[in-house]
Amino acid sequence: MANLEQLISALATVATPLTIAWIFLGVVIGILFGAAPGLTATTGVAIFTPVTFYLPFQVSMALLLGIFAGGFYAGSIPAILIKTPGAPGNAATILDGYPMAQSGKPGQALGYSVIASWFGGTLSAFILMLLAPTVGAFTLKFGPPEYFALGILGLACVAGVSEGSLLKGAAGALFGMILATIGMDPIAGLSRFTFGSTYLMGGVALIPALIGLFAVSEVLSKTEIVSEGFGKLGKVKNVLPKFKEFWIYKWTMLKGALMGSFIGALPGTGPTIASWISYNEAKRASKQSDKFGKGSEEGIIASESANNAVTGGALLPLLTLGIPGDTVTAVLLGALMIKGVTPGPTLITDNYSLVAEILWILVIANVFLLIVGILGSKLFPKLLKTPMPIMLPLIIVMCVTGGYAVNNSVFDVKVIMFLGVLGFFFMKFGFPIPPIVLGLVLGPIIEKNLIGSLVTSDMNPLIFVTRPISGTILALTVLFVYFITKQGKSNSDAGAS
Amino acid sequence: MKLSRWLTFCGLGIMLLVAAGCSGETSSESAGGSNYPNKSINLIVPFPSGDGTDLVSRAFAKYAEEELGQPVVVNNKPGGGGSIGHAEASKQKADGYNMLTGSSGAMTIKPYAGDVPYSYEDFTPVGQMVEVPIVIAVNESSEFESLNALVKHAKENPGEVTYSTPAAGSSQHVLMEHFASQNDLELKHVPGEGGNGAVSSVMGGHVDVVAVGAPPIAGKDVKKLAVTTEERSEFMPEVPTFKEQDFEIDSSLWFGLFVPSGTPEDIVAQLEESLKKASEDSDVKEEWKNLNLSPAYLNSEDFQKKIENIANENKQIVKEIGLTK
Repeated sequence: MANLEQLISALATVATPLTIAWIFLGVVIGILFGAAPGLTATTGVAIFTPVTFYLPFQVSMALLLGIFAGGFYAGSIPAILIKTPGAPGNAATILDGYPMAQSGKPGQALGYSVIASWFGGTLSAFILMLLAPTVGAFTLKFGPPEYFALGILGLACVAGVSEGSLLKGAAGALFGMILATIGMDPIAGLSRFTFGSTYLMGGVALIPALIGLFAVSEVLSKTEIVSEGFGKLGKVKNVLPKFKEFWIYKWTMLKGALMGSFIGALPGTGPTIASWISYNEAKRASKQSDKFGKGSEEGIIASESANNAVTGGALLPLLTLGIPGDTVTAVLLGALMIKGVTPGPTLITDNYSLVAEILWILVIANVFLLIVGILGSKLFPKLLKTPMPIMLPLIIVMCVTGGYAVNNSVFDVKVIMFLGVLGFFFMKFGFPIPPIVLGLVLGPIIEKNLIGSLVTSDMNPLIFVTRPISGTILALTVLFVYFITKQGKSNSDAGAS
Repeated sequence: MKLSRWLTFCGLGIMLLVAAGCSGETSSESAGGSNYPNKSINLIVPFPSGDGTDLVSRAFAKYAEEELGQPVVVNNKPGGGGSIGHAEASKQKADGYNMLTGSSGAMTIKPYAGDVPYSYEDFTPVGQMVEVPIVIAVNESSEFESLNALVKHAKENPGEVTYSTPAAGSSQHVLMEHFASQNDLELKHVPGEGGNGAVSSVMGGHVDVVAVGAPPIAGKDVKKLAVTTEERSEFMPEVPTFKEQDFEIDSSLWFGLFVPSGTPEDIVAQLEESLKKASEDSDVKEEWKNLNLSPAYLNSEDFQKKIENIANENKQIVKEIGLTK
């Protein structure tokens, strides 16, 4: 268990000007990577890993964890300002961040996002510090049936994010899941719906799909009203919400951070699922659930606190079991191993000081994130003052370069354009976009774990309800859907009267 | 206006100087007569950045850059278990400025099990970089103490034993199916989420057996029963080989350097020489070993023979276990 003396001496090791400077540099790089659509924290950490070959342990961890924390937060900046998630984990932030920015409050939206991110990231670091051994062992209890149940819980979010018509939302989710079947099937590894194209063997890459569906479609629909000319943003003020205003949302933020930490700790999940589930739960619990999707502060807080709490969560199985919790930590695993540190069950017992140093670096990185984010929140919205005829082509340029950068693939650029046009028509016909994305993210998880579970249970579907954890998650899913649909009904009744 | 024009002039001057400096360096490198390389070299890595393959390639690229006097640019083209990057590399010009870090699975299994537009014959091997065994392991509290005990149990209980691998259609998957058919076993495959995911599912007791390469499993709390290489692995010398336990399995995972076939022979020889030197360099070696990958240099000719053998063997195996396209 955590030893106070070791924790304090680790803080002393980390708190040198050199290490702190590198953390700061990492956060700034991370914010740049996170904010550029297509470039993510994962890319940032991967690109800078070779740089750390020459640096001492603390310094290299300072740089990489700084990028990690900064990158996870900064994806919300383009999500709020131009409806393009910087990374898949920030897609849920669009739902309320973008409408809030459009209604003339981009500064506040960014402010809420940065504070929630900071809180989520910091809390998850402390959870990691205190609970690492316990939670680490618990995550191993998640097998195929549990991941399947978690996927279904995520899919239940469709009910929460289908503004207007649940039927259209469900259709969108199905479309997303069908898109996700393209590529190599997860059971035999054979090509499926690839029509002989090697590029399709890798499936529809998530980030290009997100860019196409959210950003390109939005640009296309904006061109219809482009004659309006200049954006109508006033001065950016009140970035920092008053403490009182913020305090109302403490439970939303705490719940988001806890969910993010835990979901982040499950290998193979990550920020995308964490933020959607947190968003959905916040909407269910909210007294003002009708504001969700129209610029609700709670929506931004729920999504961003969970998204950033994944940082500490994902480090947890990495440090305790040697198993990365998401894609960034998978890269970090390589970076640690290059340094001769092999994460695993013995790391915490044999080398607790290294673990404690990592935790402090994460905490300090989150402080920088808060400072840079708040300063930035005053600057970034100026972007929106760019006249639309200049802004829209620029967004397309960013979409194309970002989409290309993910896998250095021209094919992905075609995916962006194709899904962008498709997304435009979806919007025209009132099909909400978020369910499509949920289907695309969750489809592979659900399919693989459905079959994996049935293989282990001799094709007996009862395995999903007889195992306590998956049974509980599925029961929660049913409750979720019940409450959300009931809420939706009473909202629409209220709207009608 | 004046200042900006002056700045432009200075800028141009500096660029010219830099260009002259660069070309000067290359001409001194090419004392042998040919002027290869005189521009940057593209190295396609068919896996995501930060992956083991990627880090191995980057360590080599860093060394080769100094050796060849030109930048070696790593270009990640991930997806489809490596097949997208291999397909892309097979279409590049065979002029020595395009290289590929090829992997055993994508090179010798995918052409027979998947719909890919390339085969190993589209490449000329420069040399092998690293090699590791596939490791078979069970949960720490498992009753099985040896491979024989596991096989005996699987024989008595057909269809009961489950195993996990990094992905469907991977080398590990093919190996396990091959092993099962050799010994008349009926094993059930539960594909994991990459090597780490596969290891965690055996640690959590969700599957009975796991088959993964050495890197994700070295140092983990699992009971390792066997390694597939002929010799024991330096990372787990206590684990016996299949052969030691009387099973006819000899296979491995490897990465090597390739160029599109048709690349001039003298260029292949030059690259072969730098790869050889890199694999003898102590820094490069240490970086590879830290990733739990054993440096295992093979020259172009030996590597070519090895690949031919393995590819022919895998062609049969893939047919036998019913994974053909």
